[in-house]
Amino acid sequence: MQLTYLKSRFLRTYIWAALLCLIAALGWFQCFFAGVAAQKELEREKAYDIPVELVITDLGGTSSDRLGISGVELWAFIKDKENVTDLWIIPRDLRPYFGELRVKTSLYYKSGEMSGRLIGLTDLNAEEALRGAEIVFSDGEDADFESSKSPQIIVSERFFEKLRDESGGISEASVAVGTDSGLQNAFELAVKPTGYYTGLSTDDIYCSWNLAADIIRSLGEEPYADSISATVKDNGELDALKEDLSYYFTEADPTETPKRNPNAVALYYYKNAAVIHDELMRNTLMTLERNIAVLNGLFPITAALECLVSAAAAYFYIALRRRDVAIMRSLGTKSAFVIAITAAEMFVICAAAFALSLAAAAAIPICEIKISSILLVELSALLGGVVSAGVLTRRGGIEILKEND
Amino acid sequence: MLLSLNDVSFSYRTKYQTVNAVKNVSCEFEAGRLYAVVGKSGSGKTTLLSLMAGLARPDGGAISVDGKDLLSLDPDAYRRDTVSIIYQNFNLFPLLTVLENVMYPLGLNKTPKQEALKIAVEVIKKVGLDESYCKRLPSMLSGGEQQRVAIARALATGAQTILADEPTGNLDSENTENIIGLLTSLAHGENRCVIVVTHDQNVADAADTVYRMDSGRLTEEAREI
Ligand SMILES: Nc1ncnc2c1ncn2[C@@H]1O[C@H](COP(=O)(O)OP(=O)(O)OP(=O)(O)O)[C@@H](O)[C@H]1O
Ligand SMILES: [Mg+2]
Repeated sequence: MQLTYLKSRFLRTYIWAALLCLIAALGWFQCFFAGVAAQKELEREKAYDIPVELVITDLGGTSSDRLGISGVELWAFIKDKENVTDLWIIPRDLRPYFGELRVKTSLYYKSGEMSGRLIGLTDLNAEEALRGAEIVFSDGEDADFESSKSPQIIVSERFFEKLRDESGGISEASVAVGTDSGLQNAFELAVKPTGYYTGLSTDDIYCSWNLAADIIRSLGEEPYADSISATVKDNGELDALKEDLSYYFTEADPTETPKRNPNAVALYYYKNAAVIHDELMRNTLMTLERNIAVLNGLFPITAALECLVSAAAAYFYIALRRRDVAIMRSLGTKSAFVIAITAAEMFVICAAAFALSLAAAAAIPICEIKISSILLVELSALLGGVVSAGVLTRRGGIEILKEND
Repeated sequence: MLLSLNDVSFSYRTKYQTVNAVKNVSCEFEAGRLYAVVGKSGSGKTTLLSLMAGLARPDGGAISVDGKDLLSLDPDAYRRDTVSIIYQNFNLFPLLTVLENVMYPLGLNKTPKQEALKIAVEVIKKVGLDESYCKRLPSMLSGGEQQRVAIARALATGAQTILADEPTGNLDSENTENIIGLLTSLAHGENRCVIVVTHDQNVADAADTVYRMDSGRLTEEAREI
């Protein structure tokens, strides 16, 4: 007979469907929440792959034809800078830490009224100054400095216009290049630009590092670089790299009187010479860490709230039939029977909601299936419904029966 | 004696006050008779009825059913098998059809389905409704029809005692006549004990015995025959 009653409730009302959807949505939401948290964890993993670059600047005056980031080069650099000759150390091999090396060197030039720096680069894309500029290449030229056959030379748009003749062709410019700004020891070079850049205020000339090195050799000096940069191959080894670098460079507090690190042969007054550019990675990681902490903190709170809402919804769903239960009791239905049949009904609804939550979580990509969270929501609903039935059967009933609809 | 009350008292206790709704009531009810309980509103008639139905427990005194103390009986079994209640507001299950409503108590006492169906159709006919009503929901019936379904439900289990609380309170005079006829035939024709709480003089006139309730006290009314 109770089954007839339940059947009628399922067939002739649809509140159960609303309850089912609500409980299913609550269970699903927790999966969604867990999915978002998992997504952030994944992003954190990925953030370790954000390129980190080591830039060694202020290398002016360093002469070495084996420019690279290895202990040997750094040692040469230190010796040049500090003017020490008697210090002997075992260089550490830093090369395994890095991918391809980028070298930059600066010279000075003058050509008529145009003047500025002549900058040699191994990688045009690595030059920070050029990142805000648009580069226009003449026909048949491309952006790869090292692989192109004819030497690539990029000048400012102003310089480029000066060299344009009536027919639209570009003529050669005669440029004096030297290592000092006064151009005392200058080398005359015929320059034919292969492109120009726009949007910068300088008239600097950019060329391949090989060309710059040739010029330096022509001036009778060893090629040098004023900065070397390289991308760190594996960010997992950042700490080890820093440790090794501290052998050469100290990170002195700029407010303090510089002190020599007794464990490092570093140049304390060139403390900013080696900079690891991991700000982007660090900031990204920090933001993600914060997000993850917030999400992890919220997870149990939302879970508890969902259980509460689920239990309350089930409670009121059952409480709606207070009159029916009063009638049942007045006809002699045992309260245990009412509770049992309510539990059975809630079980069916919860089982369906469980399946629905699971299906929705599986169908929506970001969700992570959290069986325990869904079960907790269902359990709360079951409990809410059964408690509600218990409360209903405990009532005297006669008061309810006296009420008019 | 089917039902006898001996010095029964009952009070409603709330946080704020205690209402002595039934005070030292003693009376007896026999099978085959129609009883009317009349009295002013608030005099305790419904309370008395719910005591007899086992919906409330007396604070003092005793109610005995067929010589057994009501308190010693299983109240669920008592309401299921021995007593049926009819209310002013019908109290049918709104989502069950007429047939399902009438079959509900038969399901409780485990009458086999086929037999229950037969009995239900029989009592529905007895209260003057034809089979076309069986599939309707209570909301699709008039007040008088709903009350007949409620009576049919009360009859279905063959309970010895039928308690009715203002069964005609919501009905017009024609329907009232019908219900009075039904209740009288239950008492006189089927030898049941029918106790009706009523404001309706017509119902009181049809009764074999009239009790008057006044501020919780019960007195038997003298009848001129
Ligand atoms: N649940 C309750 N709590 C407290 N007092 C109650 C409760 N139910 C009824 N009473 C009080 O008990 C007394 C008897 O109530 P009862 O319902 O039995 O009256 P009645 O004779 O049936 O009245 P009516 O003819 O209006 O239905 C009344 O004074 C009423 O105020
Ligand atoms: Mg009343």
